Amino acid sequence: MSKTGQSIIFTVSKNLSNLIKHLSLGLAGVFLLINVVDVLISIFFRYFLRSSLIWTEEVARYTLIYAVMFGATAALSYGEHVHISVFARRLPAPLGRLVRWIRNALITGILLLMTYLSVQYAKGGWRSRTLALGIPRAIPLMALPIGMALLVIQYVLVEITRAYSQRNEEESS
Amino acid sequence: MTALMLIIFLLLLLIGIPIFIALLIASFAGILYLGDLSLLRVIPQQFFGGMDVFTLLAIPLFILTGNLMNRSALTDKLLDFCRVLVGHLRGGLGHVNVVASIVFAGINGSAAADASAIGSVLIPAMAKEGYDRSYAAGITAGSSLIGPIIPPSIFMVLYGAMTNQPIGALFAGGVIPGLLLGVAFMIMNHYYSVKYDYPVSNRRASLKEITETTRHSIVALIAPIIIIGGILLGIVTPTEAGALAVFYVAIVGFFITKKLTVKLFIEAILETVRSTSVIFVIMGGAAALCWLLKWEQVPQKVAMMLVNVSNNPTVLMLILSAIIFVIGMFMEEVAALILLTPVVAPVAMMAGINPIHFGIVMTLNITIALITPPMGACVHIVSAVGKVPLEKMFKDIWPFVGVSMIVLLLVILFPPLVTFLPGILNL
Repeated sequence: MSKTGQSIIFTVSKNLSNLIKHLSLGLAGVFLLINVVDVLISIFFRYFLRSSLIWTEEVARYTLIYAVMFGATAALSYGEHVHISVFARRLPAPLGRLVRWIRNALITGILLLMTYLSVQYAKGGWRSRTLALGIPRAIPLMALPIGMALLVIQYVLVEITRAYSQRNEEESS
Repeated sequence: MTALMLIIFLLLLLIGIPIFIALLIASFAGILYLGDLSLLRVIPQQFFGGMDVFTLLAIPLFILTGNLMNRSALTDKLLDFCRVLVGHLRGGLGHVNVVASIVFAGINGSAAADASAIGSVLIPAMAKEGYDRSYAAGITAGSSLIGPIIPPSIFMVLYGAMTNQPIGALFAGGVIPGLLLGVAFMIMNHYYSVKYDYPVSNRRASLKEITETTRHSIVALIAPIIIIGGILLGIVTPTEAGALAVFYVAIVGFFITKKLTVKLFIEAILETVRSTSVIFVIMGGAAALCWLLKWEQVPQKVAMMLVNVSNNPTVLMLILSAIIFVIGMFMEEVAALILLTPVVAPVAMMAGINPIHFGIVMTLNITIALITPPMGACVHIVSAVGKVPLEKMFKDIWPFVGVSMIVLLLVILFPPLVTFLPGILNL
């Protein structure tokens, strides 16, 4: 591929991955905020108005799952998911490159598979409804395919950006 | 199949694949090995189910409380209070460090928050008074272990969620062992202070000064009372206590200490959501793998094997503790807890060990891993905030590991240290 072609791909993936990073973090934050306010509302009704609301528990559980699934993409962008980097970093260059390819293939593969499987799982949820809110179960379940799809897209973008800037560094040094 | 999944999982970790993804790949490999592809649908089901647990709702709230506290300058108030309380003893600031961790532990469920908040203030202060820097960092890391033992505790919520044990009882069970840790570190601090002639930091405060300071720091002291009192007396659930603590700390930060701004609040929320996600996706991945392990009856097999080695509960707990200690040295602590609990908890149940007792032993064990080199998170934190080279810290931390191991041993040998409080509180 030509140099300009590569640099366009680099710029696009860098900007797109930045956008996804901020968007997923923001959305995750909003869901967490709703979650906290919801728990506070439930306490207020239970202790001060002496009547429990039935929907607060489901709202709390489902907003947290959405917060987590968006947050997972944000955490990926910041490189915060728990992993062990000590060994992989010490490998000699050619082996290190091979390991990186294996890692990329495995992570992308499993995330794609998880996206597909969770779409199937969520589809089944349109037939039943949640107990308290009475919404289709697919609505909370959708957090999974959305989160997994975002993760795989973000992973690929981050890797493209990283690989390109690393090559540039090597060339300039 | 189990051996295959374990080898694959370890290989994946070695090449730097994030734990939650490694768990998913290992589950997938296990299903391929069984040859029944219809089982694949179980993976997303378990992943979702592992995160969709009511008790887990407490976790982001506990993390958020800590993040808000650090941004609300509540830590400073706590330290003022501890200073008048124990600052006049020999090695005063060392004692202040431990007592502050005890009070802090009642608000915050994580040791890392404790180590960074208290360490950033006290390590420089201690170094200025002539303490050895690595000793100051060591006692900060050591006493931060009290955080996850005195309620609230993120580790205990995870353990309780995975073993279906009441969180309230676990929290109550942690109170005495947590205080014991505090006493142990204070004894240690006294010994070192006499040996190296560390200074007295304050003159003894008059009763008037004590009441005055208490009045000023009362806002910081109320938080642990709401949380621990509310949960232990059964007035609120752990999740509700977490929400109340968030509310309280936010109000104090915005309107009383006036240090919290909307920007800092948003920052705290965003930091919380990222740490929470990291924990939850591991819970999800572990649930998928554990489902397969249970399908293959692995926990029962491991239990049978270990019970054959010895059916004495104490010996078993010592063996399990040794295993957890070694794994904890090399693995991130939350991940270690999530991965080990489903395998070792059934062993303990089968041997007739009280599940609450075992929960505290396990939590304490994993907590100690926070200060064992080379992976212990708190060692890294105090080395960074205290500006002590990591290699030096790795060497000088061992006496503190030793002291906490003694406490662990006491807790293993004397179960009432754990079971007494939940018993009288009927939890």
